[in-house]
Amino acid sequence: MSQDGPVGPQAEEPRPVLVDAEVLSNEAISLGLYETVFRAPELALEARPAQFIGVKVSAGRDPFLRRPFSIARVDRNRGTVGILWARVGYGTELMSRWRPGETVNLLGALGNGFRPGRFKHLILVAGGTGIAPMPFVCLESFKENPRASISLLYGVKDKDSMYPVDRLTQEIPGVAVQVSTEDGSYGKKGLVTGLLEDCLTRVSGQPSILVFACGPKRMLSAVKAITTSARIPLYVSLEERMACGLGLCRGCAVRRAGGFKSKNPVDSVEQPGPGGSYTGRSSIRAGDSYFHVCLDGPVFSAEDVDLEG
Amino acid sequence: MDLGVRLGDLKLKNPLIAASGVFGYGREYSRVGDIRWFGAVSTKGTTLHPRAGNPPPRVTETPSGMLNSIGLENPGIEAVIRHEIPWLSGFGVPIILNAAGESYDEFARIAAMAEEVPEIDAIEVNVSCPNVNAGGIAFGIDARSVYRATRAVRQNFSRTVIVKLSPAAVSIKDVARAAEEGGAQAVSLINTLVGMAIDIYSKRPVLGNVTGGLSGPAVKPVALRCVWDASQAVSIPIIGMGGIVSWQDAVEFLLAGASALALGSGLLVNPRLPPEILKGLQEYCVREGIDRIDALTGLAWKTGR
Repeated sequence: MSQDGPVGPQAEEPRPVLVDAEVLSNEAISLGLYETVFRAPELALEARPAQFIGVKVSAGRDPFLRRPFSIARVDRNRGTVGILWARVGYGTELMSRWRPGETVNLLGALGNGFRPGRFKHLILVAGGTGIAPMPFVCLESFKENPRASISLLYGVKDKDSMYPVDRLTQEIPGVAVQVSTEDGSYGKKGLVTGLLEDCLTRVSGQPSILVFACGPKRMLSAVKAITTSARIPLYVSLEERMACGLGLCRGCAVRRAGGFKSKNPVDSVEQPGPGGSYTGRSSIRAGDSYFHVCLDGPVFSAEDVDLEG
Repeated sequence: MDLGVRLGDLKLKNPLIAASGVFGYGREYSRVGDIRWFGAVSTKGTTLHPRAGNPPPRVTETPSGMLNSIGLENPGIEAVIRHEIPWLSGFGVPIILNAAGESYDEFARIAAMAEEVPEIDAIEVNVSCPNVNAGGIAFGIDARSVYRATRAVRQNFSRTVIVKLSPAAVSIKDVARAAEEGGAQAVSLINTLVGMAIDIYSKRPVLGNVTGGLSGPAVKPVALRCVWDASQAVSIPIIGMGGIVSWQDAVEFLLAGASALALGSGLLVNPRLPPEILKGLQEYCVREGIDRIDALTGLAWKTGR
């Protein structure tokens, strides 16, 4: 694993905890976009940027499964954890009715998370609800590397459904935020990949540039095409339909790029999974195999995963 | 209060089993729960050769349940014996190897390999996986093929043989009897029901494999009926499963005729389910004046109307 890579949970890493968390606030911050803040001190202590939590939307049998949500905010002093989410279906409809004081069961922190390491220029690319992990990633990266420059490029449908980005710029004076909207109602009209191309033109030739992207697979695929031709390392945070978030069910599969690469030689290296756990890496046949987003990710080096499928 | 149960030669300290497919080979579970909570654990469905599994999406939420089409992703029996069983056996909890053959011969070969590994206490013959093209459920719907698969394992494995049955069988009673006649010392049921979901925006099936196995509370009434039927048709014990998420569910399955209980998708939602259920079971038995959990088995049909 390279020094600049995502830092996955190692054997000695904290184990996920199950907590009954109090809803401190739950409100729409734009059209269809919500922010929920929980009191969950244990989680707040352990959570790292780009990790996620499994949310039991209601205590009963329906909805049945936990829903995975990126951790958007952590305040370790106050012991709070926040998530950003879009009201899109049955589960999130119920979530929109949560009231402060309610108790919600959370499982986390899950996944490997992302730590950019030493970089001079970090470019964060978010599409739609892919904005969710960015506040936490942004703040932690800034803390870790205050003299480096951080750009957040954010593509969203329109002004009304936009995450209020001034919240970020007020907290981190150094972060440069650029927005693109599909209808041109805010920022530049077009897709976020346009912003990325412009940004890369400006910083081209500079050393130690790193891109971290979260959003729809089609966007990630387009971002990968751009960073590949610019020879800039890209890390992507992936979403897949998920049941447990713990590696129990093997549900959240994502295809490896080109099967096994030389990095992961078949049957030659016992490559322990996160948490020292088995993920089938060393023994599953080459050529047609999968990572699991919950344990191996959600953050991957873009060259390791197939984003076309 | 005695929570111990017997499955053939196998003694379990309590009736709870981690169902195949929600437990891997235990490593992931051990990060969030204690393997020692269980009376026994059933491994991920293991095949003769490694399998990469089905294309995603592999899981989706459904009303009070879920669909999965994992497709028996597993590293194959050799790697399981080499890397997983030694680790898992360290917990001192009986290990049930869930074996999924694509043919009678493959069942026989997996059984023969498991026979050489004394840490494998039992084989669960998987004749009911709905997510593979060859083997799986195709064996489980017909009594004769259930008998043959059971025999193939029985003749190569000297310890406990369990057969996991499908609710899609033409007759649950017939396949349960076929398993018993083939030499099984227990049957487990139910495996998942075949179902599907469609994405109304992409206008395509949600699952990459089109169909998947339905599990969770949604299938509990079906599972209870299968346990009820099977337990009256055979004299070997039944491992009941299908939507158990509370101690009350567990009691229902015992009353319907189960001797042991497997936790499946309920464990995905709440990995700490076992101690909650055991506590509830114990309190229930005390309230009801029952001193052995196995006294509950089949009471619903033994006591008549």
